[in-house]
Parts: sequence; structure tokens; C-alpha cells
Amino acid sequence: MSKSAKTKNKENKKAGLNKTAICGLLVSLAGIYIALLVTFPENAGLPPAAPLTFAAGIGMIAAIVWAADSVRSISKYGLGTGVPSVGMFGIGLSTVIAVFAAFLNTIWSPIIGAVLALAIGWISGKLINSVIGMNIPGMEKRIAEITAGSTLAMMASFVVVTGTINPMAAGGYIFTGTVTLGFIGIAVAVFHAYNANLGPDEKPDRTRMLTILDASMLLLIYGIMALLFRLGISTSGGADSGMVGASLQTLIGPAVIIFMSIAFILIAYYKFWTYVKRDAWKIMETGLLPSEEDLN
Amino acid sequence: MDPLIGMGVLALIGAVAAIAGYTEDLESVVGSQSNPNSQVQLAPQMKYPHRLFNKAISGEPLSNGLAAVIGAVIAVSLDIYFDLSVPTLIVAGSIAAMMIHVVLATTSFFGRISSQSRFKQPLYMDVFKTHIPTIAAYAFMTTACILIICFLMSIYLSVGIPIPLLALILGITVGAIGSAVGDTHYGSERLYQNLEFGSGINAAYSGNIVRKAESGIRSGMDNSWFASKFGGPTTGIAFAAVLFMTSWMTVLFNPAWGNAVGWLGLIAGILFVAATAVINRYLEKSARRNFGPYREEEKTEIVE
Amino acid sequence: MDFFIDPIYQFTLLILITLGGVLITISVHMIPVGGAPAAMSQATGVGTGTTQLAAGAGLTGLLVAASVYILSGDALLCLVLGGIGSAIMLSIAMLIANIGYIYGVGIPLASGKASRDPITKDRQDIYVSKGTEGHGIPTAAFLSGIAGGFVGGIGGSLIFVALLKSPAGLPFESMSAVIPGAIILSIALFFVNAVIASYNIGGTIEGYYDQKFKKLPKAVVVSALITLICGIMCLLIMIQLELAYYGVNV
Repeated sequence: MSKSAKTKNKENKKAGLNKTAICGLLVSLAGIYIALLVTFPENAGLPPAAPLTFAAGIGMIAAIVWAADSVRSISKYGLGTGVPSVGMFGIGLSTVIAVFAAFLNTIWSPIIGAVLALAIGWISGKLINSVIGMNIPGMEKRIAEITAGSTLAMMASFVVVTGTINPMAAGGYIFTGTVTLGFIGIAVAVFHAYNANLGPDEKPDRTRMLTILDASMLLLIYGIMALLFRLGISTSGGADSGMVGASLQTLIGPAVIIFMSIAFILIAYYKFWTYVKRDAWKIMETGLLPSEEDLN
Repeated sequence: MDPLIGMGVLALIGAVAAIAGYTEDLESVVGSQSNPNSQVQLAPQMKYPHRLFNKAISGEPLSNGLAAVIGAVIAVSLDIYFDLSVPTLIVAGSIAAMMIHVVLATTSFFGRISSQSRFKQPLYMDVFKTHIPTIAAYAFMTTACILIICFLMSIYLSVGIPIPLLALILGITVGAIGSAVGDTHYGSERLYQNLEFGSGINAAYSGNIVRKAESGIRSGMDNSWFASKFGGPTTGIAFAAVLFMTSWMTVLFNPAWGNAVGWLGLIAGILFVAATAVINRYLEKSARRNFGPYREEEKTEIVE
Repeated sequence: MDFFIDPIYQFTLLILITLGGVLITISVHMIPVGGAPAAMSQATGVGTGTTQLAAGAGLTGLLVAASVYILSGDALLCLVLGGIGSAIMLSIAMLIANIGYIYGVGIPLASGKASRDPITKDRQDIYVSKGTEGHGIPTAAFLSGIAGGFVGGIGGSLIFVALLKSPAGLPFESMSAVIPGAIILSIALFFVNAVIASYNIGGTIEGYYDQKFKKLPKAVVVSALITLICGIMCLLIMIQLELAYYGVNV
């Protein structure tokens, strides 16, 4: 116990990122860039369309898994205010950072967003740890990771809905108020898995599978939303909402996202259920409470 | 807008808000969400396994905020492409929110119970199957009511805020009120009904929750029956009062008629807050007079 | 279209945003919250989480502030009414929670931290039932909560108004287009500051007379610094948002 705690401390003090973090960072960045860079050329006056937005959807899931992993590491120490608070802190910072990075209007926006989020998250964690005196080992690193993961998920959600990251798209996303789904949806997806599995027999693989399930459900809502938005714009022809004009090519992404996320949901739910069957003490159809002998 | 129509809309908002608060509290009680969840979570560890639904999505504000936002986003997106009436949009949005909420509740129940396997808490499938429809129904009602309020506010009161944002604000508010007002009755009365009425729960009893029902073993259904008599209605009153009192300030004293009218609204608000403080003081005094102290005054030293 | 960014004006707005963040932090320290134990009548205060109650109150205030701003355009009125909106939400929540404690659970209101109520001078310790640290929301905590709600509502509305005012030089009528952006950024900053404050008090506090209130300066420093960093980004976002809406190229 003490030895594992010691190695855990050492791991927390290390400045570098662990395997999950590197995977989450790289996969989400790669997803966002695949979706952004593979575009059909401009035709018939419509802006270039991004057909592969589902890559950004996969990136969003990876980023959420990364952030949720950090929530798990930090919440094990007991924050005194419940698991959700740290998720809300991260999403508060990352909403500001993600929208800011989107408004920079360069192709480097996702990378700038991730770096800013790591830096600001680290500073905030340092301030909370040293000035307020939480004294949680590795708090700086974990808050930086939560913020960065949420920021990348938020930017991926921009790409999923609008197909681009630019002020016009982000502005339209904000005017319609749908950015709210990113705010609360990503926050719940990040902290729900650990909160729902809280207990002494919590298993990392079960928590991670639940994170994938939560993220896929969020992605499904985003897919439906993106499909309806693009259909709506293609019929009304109104580009004033700031969304990318729709053509058949822009409908590929949302359609794939819907099918992909339904598949992910089913697989993740099935896997989660097998883990529950593995971990639960006893699964009973019905029954009375366990007797005294059972408990001792 | 005509102030009379405004008052009518306000009354309707108040009525719908009362239903939203009521169902929100019952939904959290059926699943033992929010603060009393700490006792339900602690019980198996203290060797009191139970047959309650342990639903820990998050605190009530965030889970209700999420449900409301999902409903609003689906309703708004459907509105862009299809030419549907507002009630249809509300129902479609609420169904989507309900489905997501049910999956979150299901996974929370499975996850929390299987993380307690060392305390030998069984996972009862019949508890799951009987509670999920109730949770779904209440979640649907709450989301639908919140969406009705959002559409009323944005169409008639011209609040000027997009509906998803309005849904987030109202969802978080109904959750905050539900957990501030309704939880108390469930947590300190229903879960510890075997203890003497009229005292706080001694910390030594933590986790020793009542597990026997009027007949059989207690489940979340029995608790919602109890909460529907006091906790739910008070939550409904509180949420309706909050929405009515805050909107009333801008409808009856519409600042668009001139800044002086707006400042009158401020005075009305201050008077209302002062009135609650006075009522609270009266309640405090009457409770002390009628219930009396727990210890004799003379025998206890004041420790400054 | 004429467009000009005045650095001094923007700097003033930045200071106002930081002040708003600090006010939110102060408000969380003043709202009596007992966390999970309060729901079991084991601690004084409202039985819910600090962040969530403050957010519920602050967002109600923000809703009032936004509708007042759209109706009248008066920034000062919007600030004060936003504060009153939060105070009304908290006063109703606390009053009806107290009705629940008194008539539902049958306990008098008592503070566990003070032996005499700082305002009414009533004895508190003899009304605390055995094995608990007080229950309900006594008068001092109630008034502290109303004041906290007022301060927090003003803080949230201050961030909102400062963000709305940032794109200088554009007409007021255009502001309604930027309101959603200002609201979502205010909500984000509200949550950040509320979480910082609730970490500082460890999740529970009784009001201004609680010993934990003395830790306030630490949280103020942290929240001012973090809000300052976020405020710079928020102001830039708002300017860009306004420009994007009008299609102005910079």
C-alpha cells in the first residue's frame, strides 16, 4: 500500500504526461486536423466543405477520456466538495480558452488552445495548491490536463457542428446558444464516469468504458444537431447564422457521426455491463437483504 | 407588451414551474440523488445493505441542467429544418433528454453498486427495472416543464436569450432549489424515520438508514410516496416563487418604460427580501418557543 | 464602420471583470452552506453544495440582469437588479428550506459555530441537538446569505455588463447579438470563481461569522489572478465576436 502510494506520488510529481495523456492529446489533435484539412474545394459559391468531421468526433471522445482520467486521479484524494466541482472548474476555464483560440482564426488554433489550456490550468492548479493550501499532490498537472482535455473536446465539438474553426463559425455557434451543450455536456461527460463509479472497488477499466459511453452519447446529440443544422441551412439558404453552407458533402460527416456514435454507445454499454457482472458481489433478479452470516 | 398579458404569462410560468420543482424533487428522491446519497452510499459500508436506487449522476443542478440543455438543443435544431409546432418540439426535446438521463442513471446505479462489492451489497435487477420507468417519467416531466418555461419566456416576455442558454440557467436553478429545499425532508426525516422526531441526525447514526418499509423492504418508490407529501410540494412552491418574483420585477416594473420604473422594481425587490427575513425571524422564534431547548439553560456554560 | 479600440477603456473593463470575479468569490464565502451533512440536519446551512447553490443564485441574477439590460440598456440598473434577483432566489430557497427544517423535521434553527447569534443575541448552543453541529439557517446566517446573494449577483452581472460594453464604437441596438456570448462567458467565469471559493472553505461555511471566513484573502488573491487571465481572453473574444457579426475585417 505504502509502496504503491509512493510510486503514485512520484508519478504525480513528474512533469511529463503519462500514456493516456499522450494518446488523448495526439488522437484528438489528429482528429481535429484530419477533419479540418481534408476539404472539398470551393464550388458554386459555397465555402469549402469538410466531409470527415467524424474524425473530430473521435478526437472529442479521446480528449474526454484524457480529462476523465485526470478527474479520477485528482478525486481519489478527496476534494471536500464532491467530484463535479473540479469538472466545472475545468470546463469554465476551457470554454473561455476554446472560444478564444477559435477566434484567433489560424490553422494553429487547436494547438494554441491546447498549449494555453495546459499553461493556464497549471498556473491555476499551482495557485490553488499553494495559496489556498489544498496540498493535493500533482494538482497542477491534473488541473492542466482536465483543462486541456476539455478545451480540445470543445474545439472538436466546434468542428463537428460547423466543419471549421473560425470566428464566423464559432460566432454562429454562440449566437444560437448551442455552445451551451458543449459547456454542460462535456463537463458531465468528464466527471460523470468517476462519480458514478465512486467506491472502494472502483476499477479503472470500468470507469474508462463509462467515459467512452458518456462521450459517445454527447457525440450522438452533436451529430443530430449538426445534421439538422446543415439540412436547415441548405433549405433556407441562410448563411447569416454563420454556419457553413450545406451541400451533400457536408452531410456525410454528421451522418457518419450518428451511426458511429450509436455503434460506440452499444459496444461501450455492453462492455460496461460485462465489467459490472465481473465486479459486482452478486447480481440477483430479486431477493431479500443479505443475512447476517452473509455479511460476516 | 400589455402588462395584463404579461401577468397572465407570469401566472402560467409560475404554475408550470411548480410542477417542474415537484417532479424534480421526486425524481431525485426515487433515485436517492444529491446530498442524501452520501447516507445511501455509506450504508453498505456500515453493514446495512439496502434495496434503494443509488443514482449519483452528479449534483441535481448539473444533471438537470444537462437534461434541459439537451432538450432545448434538440428542440431548437428540429425547429431549424422541420416546420413543427412548439408543443411537438418540446415533447421531442424532452424525450431525447429523458433517454440520455436514463442511460446516465442506469450506469450510475450499476457503477456505484459494483464499486461496493467488498461490503457485499447485491445488485438487485428488480430494483433497477421498477425504478427506471419512474425516473424516466419524472425526468421527462421536469425537462418538458423547463422547456415550456423557456419557450414562454422567449416568445412572450422577449427575454432575448437563446433557448439553450435559458434552459441551462433554469435547469441549474431548479436543481439548486431542489437540492436546497427538498433534500432535507428526505435526508433527515425519511432515511432516519426510526429515530425520534424533532432532532437532527446524530452523526453516530450515519449510514444506519431505515431499510424496512410499511410492508416489506423499503425501496425508492416508498420514499417518493413520502416526499410527495412535503418535500416535493415545497420545492415546487420555491421554484415557482423564484421565477415569479424575479420575472415580476421586470414585467410589472418594466424598465423599458423609463429608468424610474426600473428603480421602483428594485424597491419592490428589496421589500420582498426584507419580508422573507422578517418571516424567517418569526419562524425561528416560534420554533424555539414551541419546541424548547435540548438542554437546560442554567446548567450549560457559554463557551466563547 | 468606425472601429477603434481604446486601451484605457479596455483596461478599465478588465479591472471591472476582475472585480466581478472577486465579488463572486466573496459571495460564496457569505452564503451559509452545510453541504451533505446539512441535508441530514447535522450542520448549519442550506443542504447543498456551495458551488451549485451559488451558481443557481448567480445565474438567476444573471437572467434578471440580461433581461433588464435588453429592456432598458441602463448598466447600473442592470447591476443592482441582477444582485436583487440573486438575493430573492437565495431568500426564497433559505426560507422554504427553513420551513422544511421546522415543520418537516421538527427542529429549531441553531448555529453550531457561535454560542450566541451575532445579530439577534439569542442563545444557540442549547438548541443544538445531540451529535450535530447545528441545523437550519438562523437569522445571522440568513442575513449573511441574502447579502452574499446580492454580492454574487452583482459580481456576475458586472462581468456580463463589462463584456457587453467591450466592443466600443458600435451602436447599442447591435448589443442583443452579443448577449449570448457575454452570458456564456459570464457563466464560465462564475463557475471558475465559485469552485475556487468552495475549495477555500472546504465545502461548508455558516456565514460571515464563521472562522473560515478569515481565509477569504487567500481566495481573493487566487480568484483575482485567474479572472484577470481569463478576462483578457474574454475581452478579446467579445471584440472579435462583434466584428465577426458585422463582418468587419481587422
